[in-house]
Amino acid sequence: MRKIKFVLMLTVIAFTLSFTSDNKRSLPTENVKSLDGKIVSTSTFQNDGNPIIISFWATWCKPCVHELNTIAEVYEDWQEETGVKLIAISVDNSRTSGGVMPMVNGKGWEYEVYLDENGDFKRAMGVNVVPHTFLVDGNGNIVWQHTSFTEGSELELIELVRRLKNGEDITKDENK
Amino acid sequence: MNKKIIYLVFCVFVAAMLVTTACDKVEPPYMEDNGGGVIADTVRKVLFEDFTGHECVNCPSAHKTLEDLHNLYGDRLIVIAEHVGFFAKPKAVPFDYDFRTSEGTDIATFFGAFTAPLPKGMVNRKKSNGSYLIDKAEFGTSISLALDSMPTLPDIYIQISATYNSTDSIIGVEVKLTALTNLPSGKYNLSVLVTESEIIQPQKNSDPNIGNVPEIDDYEHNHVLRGAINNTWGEEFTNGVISNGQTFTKTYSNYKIGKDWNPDNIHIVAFAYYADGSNDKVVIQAEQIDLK
Amino acid sequence: MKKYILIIIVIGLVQLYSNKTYSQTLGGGEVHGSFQADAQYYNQDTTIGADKIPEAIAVNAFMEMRYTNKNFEAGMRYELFMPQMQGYDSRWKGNGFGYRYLRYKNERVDVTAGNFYEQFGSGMILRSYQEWNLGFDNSLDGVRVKYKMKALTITGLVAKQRYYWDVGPGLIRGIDGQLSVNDLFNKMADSKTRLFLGYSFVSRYQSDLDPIYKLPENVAAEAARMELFRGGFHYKLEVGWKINDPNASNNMIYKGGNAVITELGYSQKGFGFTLQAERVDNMDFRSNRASTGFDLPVGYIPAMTRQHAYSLAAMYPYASQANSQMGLQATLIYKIKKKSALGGKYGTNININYSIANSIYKEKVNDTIAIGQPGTLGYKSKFFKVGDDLYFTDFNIKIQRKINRKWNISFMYMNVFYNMFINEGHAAPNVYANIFIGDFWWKFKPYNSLHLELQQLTTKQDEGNWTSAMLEYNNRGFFAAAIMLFNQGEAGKSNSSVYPFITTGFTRKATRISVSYGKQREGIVCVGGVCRAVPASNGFALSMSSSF
Repeated sequence: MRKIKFVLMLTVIAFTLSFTSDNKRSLPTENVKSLDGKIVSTSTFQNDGNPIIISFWATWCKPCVHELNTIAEVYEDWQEETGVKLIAISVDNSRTSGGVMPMVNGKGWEYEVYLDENGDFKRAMGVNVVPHTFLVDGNGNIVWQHTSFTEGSELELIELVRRLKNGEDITKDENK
Repeated sequence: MNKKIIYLVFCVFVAAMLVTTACDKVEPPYMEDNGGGVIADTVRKVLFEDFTGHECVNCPSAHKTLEDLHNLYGDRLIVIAEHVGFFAKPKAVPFDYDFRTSEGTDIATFFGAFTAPLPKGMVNRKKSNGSYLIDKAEFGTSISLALDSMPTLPDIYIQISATYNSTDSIIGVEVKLTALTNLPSGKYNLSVLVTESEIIQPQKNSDPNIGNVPEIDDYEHNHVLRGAINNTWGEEFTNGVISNGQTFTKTYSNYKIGKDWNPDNIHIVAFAYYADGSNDKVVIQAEQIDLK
Repeated sequence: MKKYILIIIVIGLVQLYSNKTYSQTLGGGEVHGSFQADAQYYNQDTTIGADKIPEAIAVNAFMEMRYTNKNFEAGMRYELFMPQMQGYDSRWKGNGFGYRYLRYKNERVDVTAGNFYEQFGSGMILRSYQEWNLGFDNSLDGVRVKYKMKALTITGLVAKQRYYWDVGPGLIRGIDGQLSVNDLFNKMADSKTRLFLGYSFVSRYQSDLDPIYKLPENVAAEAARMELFRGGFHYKLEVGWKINDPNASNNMIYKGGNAVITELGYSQKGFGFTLQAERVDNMDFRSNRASTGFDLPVGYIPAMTRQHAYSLAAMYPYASQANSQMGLQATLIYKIKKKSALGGKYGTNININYSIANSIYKEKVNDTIAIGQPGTLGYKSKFFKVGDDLYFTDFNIKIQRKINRKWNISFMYMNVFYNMFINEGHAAPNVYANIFIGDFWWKFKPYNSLHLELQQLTTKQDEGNWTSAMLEYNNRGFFAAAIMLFNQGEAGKSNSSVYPFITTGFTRKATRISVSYGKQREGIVCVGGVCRAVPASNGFALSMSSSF
């Protein structure tokens, strides 16, 4: 039985290896909660054809807060230049989700923020560790993703947004 | 209009749920009225091993539960308290008494109780839900399953007789096993253990309803495993098919008790179990007598 | 298991360097997933309580995959604990498909068959979730139906809960309704005030085979909730009840349970304030009345305290007491404006938090029954009266400022009181501790940064003082860090210990690989851009994760 399970697992893995992170990927539909209590479906995320950055974060995750703080400083410029919108999905559970609105307002972030308290959207996106950031093109397809945040990552991100805005296909990228 | 219908549907839904699933509000008395324990000879008896330790704060609560079950099941419930692992280690005075035995340690290690958080119990060395060990809250349910839902007549009838020679502190034991049904071919072992009750030593405690918190200085430790007369895992008494009515006798005449053991409080516990096959280790029947 | 590690490494490398450019779809559908593998080699170390294990290496790994095709979805997760890492329950040992489901959803209806996770309201009477790094998974295995209308969403489910590689004995039935009042009444649609109401009912069926107690086979719990938003204000209230549920954690008493959790908050740009209060009385609700510890919880009562990310600040965390607790938490977030005298060039962030938890008041039911006596009503309680035992207090203040383009500095001070018996279950002196933390980021070159984290915990109880120093270097996706943790030992004794630890790794897109070596105490570690909870260990470790 063990060997069969093992072989099955290998087959499944090999099968899925042919589906890499570079293929077309539509944004999954799940329900998240806005900061004023409304239940919002992720299928309504849109930005008039402009790119969207979806960033999974949590109030207890220092690198996540660092990332959102860093981008907040240049967000206005980014928006002017590319029309990009950043949607921040908080994976704080009901223990810490009460701290999301005070933190977002307290730090003066201008993003669209949603709560994913039980991780439904997080699971549908294959997110295991935060921060995990995705880039969605004007047609609602996920074209890039990245975990962890370090200094300079935001420069890389805006570069990709620019290229996306120019109509480039960044899924073919090699050197990231 | 629409919204009113939605509201109505929702309320009906909820009412239906409430009515159909219901909730069982229990009215006092909250305890079952079971009458007294049964004292008869040829009845099925269960072996219960209670893994415990004098530093285990939650164990007195488990001992109390077993005492309540003893009042209910009488002689049918045979308990062995095995002091094992971290919570049984001798510590600074007054917890310096060593309740441990090499047999207890070996048994606990085999069944996973040596490193488990105590208290833990084991019924007839049989697995339930994939595990040998059960928690205190399941003691009653598991013992009930082993006795009330099984035939009253045991598969093997065990009789023990013992003698004690006070001059040289030697115990002599004779165990007679009589099959009351046919049993399939296989190895069958007999294990004979010695336990002692009324050992007065300190015990850590967290339940104020039982005694002093955090420790009870003069706690009565009962059914403490002291040793094995025919070694940890016993010995084979037959290998093959057992026919209804077949008898087996085993005699042991040279077991010397420990220096500080009190022969007035010693019990001899004997049990037969499957030594191989799909029921490996499961106890078929247990029996207990007082030495004196 | 060596071959498992090898395979996992191979998969990771293939993912990293794959350069397939054609898009692959399976009959119009898509396949996506993720995986994570952690392998740890254990050296024996009795001083920190790290044991060698007979298998020498422990591997925890999982791979989850989802197939989606229009309205249909199927998913599974294959898990492997060969054997489980230290700190994970030994019942995890083994491997198999611990999670699998089929799902159909459109705008109105969402049906799932198999394993699923769900939360009613804040989770008070029903919450099933997963935390892989903590070895926790209480997924529901059954059927769930969600029906979404304009203002009302109804969820119904019938399931058993996952119990390691099996399911728990209890059968859970639940129904929940979430109503958006603004969408119900047309004249409220554009109102600035938003109101939400919710109600849930959950019932557990478990047969009674106990010879001593008359146990209720159907135990029901209900909860009602409301949320109000207006401008910067928001108010939340959730109230729950449970009928008699004699179980292992409440010592078999027949008293019902109740809980109230409420929250008031106000925030505007640059300022945020929240006040929370709760009172929980006998609300431990599980799939198996005999379970204790982390096994089979159906409801979720969170700790009303801050979740700290610094390891020494998280050394004495409060353990939520679902059977008896009364707590308060207040948080203030303030940003001193940039370019002001106190704020500096970029502004300064201030974060103050205070929480306190206490036992509830209990008195005897009558003269003959002791408090908490099994097989009785247990105790009586007065709602507003505070109990005698202090469980926990935490006061912390954090100030953070970006000095210039290169430097970012924060300081934190914390004071904690920790009731040892309630939180850890053993009779030892309560802990009074002070924690000082300095956190420095230096971006010395574009894409290059150095991070220094200094922490000091001082206390006269438990294991005495702790000092931690971490230095981390980051260069684009590459990171390297060294942590030195030093424990002075108990006052008067010379049993100090040192925990040296180094780790390095890199992240490329959604794949991350890291190796580490050294001694690690159990707790939270935030390194290389992510935070994780880890058990005690001594040895070499390899970690990998990816998403595709």
